[in-house]
Amino acid sequence: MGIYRYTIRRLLQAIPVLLGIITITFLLSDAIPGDPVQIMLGPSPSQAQIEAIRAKYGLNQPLYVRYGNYVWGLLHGDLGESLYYQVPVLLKIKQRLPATLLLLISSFAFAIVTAIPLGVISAKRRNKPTDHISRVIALVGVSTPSFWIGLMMILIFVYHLGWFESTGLVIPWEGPGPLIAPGNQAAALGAWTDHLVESARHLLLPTLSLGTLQMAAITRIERSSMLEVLSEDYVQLARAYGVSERTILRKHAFRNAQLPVITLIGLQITAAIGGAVLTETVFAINGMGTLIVNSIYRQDFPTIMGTTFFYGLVFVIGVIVTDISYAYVDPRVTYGEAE
Amino acid sequence: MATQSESDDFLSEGSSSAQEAEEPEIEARVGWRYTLSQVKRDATAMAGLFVVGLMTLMATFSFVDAELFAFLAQFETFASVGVEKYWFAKHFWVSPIAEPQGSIQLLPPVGMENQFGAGTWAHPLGTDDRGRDILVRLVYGSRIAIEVGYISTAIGLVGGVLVGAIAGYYGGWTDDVLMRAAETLYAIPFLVLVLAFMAAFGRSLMFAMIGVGVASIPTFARLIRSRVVSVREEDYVEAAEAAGVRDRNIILRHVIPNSFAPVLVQGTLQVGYSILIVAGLSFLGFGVQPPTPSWGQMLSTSKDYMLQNVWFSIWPGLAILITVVGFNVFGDGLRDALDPRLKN
Repeated sequence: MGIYRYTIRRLLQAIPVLLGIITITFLLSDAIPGDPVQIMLGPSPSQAQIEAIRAKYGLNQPLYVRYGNYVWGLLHGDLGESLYYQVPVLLKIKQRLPATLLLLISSFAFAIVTAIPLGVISAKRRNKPTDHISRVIALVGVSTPSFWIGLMMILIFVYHLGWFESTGLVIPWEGPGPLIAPGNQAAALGAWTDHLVESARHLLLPTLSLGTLQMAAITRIERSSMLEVLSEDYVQLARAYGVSERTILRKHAFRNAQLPVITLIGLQITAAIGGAVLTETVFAINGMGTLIVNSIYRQDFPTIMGTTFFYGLVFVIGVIVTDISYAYVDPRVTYGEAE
Repeated sequence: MATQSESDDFLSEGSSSAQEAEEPEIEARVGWRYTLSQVKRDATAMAGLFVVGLMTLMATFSFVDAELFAFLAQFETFASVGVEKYWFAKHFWVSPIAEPQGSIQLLPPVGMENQFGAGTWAHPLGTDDRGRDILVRLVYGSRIAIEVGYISTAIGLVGGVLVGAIAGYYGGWTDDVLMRAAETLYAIPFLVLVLAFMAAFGRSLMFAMIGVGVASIPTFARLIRSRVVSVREEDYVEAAEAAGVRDRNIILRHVIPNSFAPVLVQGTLQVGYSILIVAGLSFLGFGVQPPTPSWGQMLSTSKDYMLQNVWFSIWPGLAILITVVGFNVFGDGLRDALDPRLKN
């Protein structure tokens, strides 16, 4: 089977999964107790007001009609309208996504940059003190509640040392704002520098808080994957030929050990999205996570549906892209029979 | 994450021999008894088992004192002799829920001092924002964590094993439908799915457990399916089919037991993960309601008092950390014992 046919097949396979996600989110929000109309209009609305709202959101129609309308809306890129904010859910996601995206990218960057060397060193110095230390770090990392790490870091670095900020994020690419007079390059440069420093001061603690779990998980898999590769016959053969350990590690072992690591990183992304909900709450960040939590408190069901579907869609696309890139990168992967 | 390789015959023999081994020399190498002896030789795994056992014991004790005594107190016979909720704690210790009169709030542990006074042996770990003893609340809070960990894992394990075994055994469109459904659940981030589930059905602890259980079904289903696909081709399964054994019995008696080893390992790790997730849910305000003590909720309350008494947040965090480390270490040890080739 050619790569194009494989791509098309993977896309087709995604359709039932997406429909499943839509159905689950739709049915869950239908089961949400309490009348959304009352939440919007307060305790004593008039009959006409109730009717108007019910008609506007289509609540007076039977379940299957509403389901059909919802799917039809999704096909046109319409995720519905938030009951609380009274704006399209898609707009709300657009506003909230940058903060979450920034948090996810920076915590994965932190996790990958620290975990891969840690895992490789751990495998290289197996059962030596360095290995034990790195294993303990990894074990504690996967066993600690991320929000607790966040709280402890706020206590130390914000309250006691005052080095960093504990609330909100400053998005670096949004710029320092229109305060600078045009043409004054020195002032603009200064403002940008301040802006970026400010951004880093806000970002560092949430990054560490969320990234620790991913770092620990990646370290564990990197270590065991490296150990497995290092015991392979071809590595033994290279050793027998007198190739230096350094070269073996760099040229023979490292590359071949990365496939399970990449798979795990992919799977960790959904875990991190869940973790971001907690991190955003601890650090009072206006991201997707706090949007979801607040929507649940407010019983804002279109927002719950919209955000859940959005995450599901991102995951499905992510899996397809990963599968297809495997097929490109690794010639041993046969893009044939579905596993 | 389980890292079992798929073409692995050792595991299947390891779990089947308990019933089928007739030759003693085989039994000496494989089977549950062998696995246990391997775990016993692994000091780290034994430490993990010790933590798991201790926490389970503490949780059972708290459950008896809270729920069983509260249940018995409804009956005249027991109520007349003074049985009540937290009977043991009230008579031999302090009540974990009552706010004592005159007790100092936010006291530090023994040997330390803060603006509210010095720590005393009456409250070895200090007191919380309402002057309650932190140690007694930690002990009674273990119940929620352990209960949630075991029950939600049991839901996910039973559900996942059935779905995965049926999908793997029958193959074809049954496989397609079940695994697409599992993939659907898997696509939604774990915590987001549980939150949506609780929004729909209720914010109580029960729905937290069910939600976490249901959300973990796909993990178990995928894991056992990958084993079942190869176990299905084994001779003994074909023999059973030829002998006309019903599918249900083949799946329950032959296919599942012989594919169970990785599920057992994942189950142990999942208990720890569930404890973390439910602590997170309590932190967000979804889960057990005050005054019932739970670690997640203690952490959630303590974040407003971090500057006054930091120990109030340190203890429940440490309790969660130690418990989850226990389950992770024991799970890792179990995996090494079940498949020595993965032992690094």
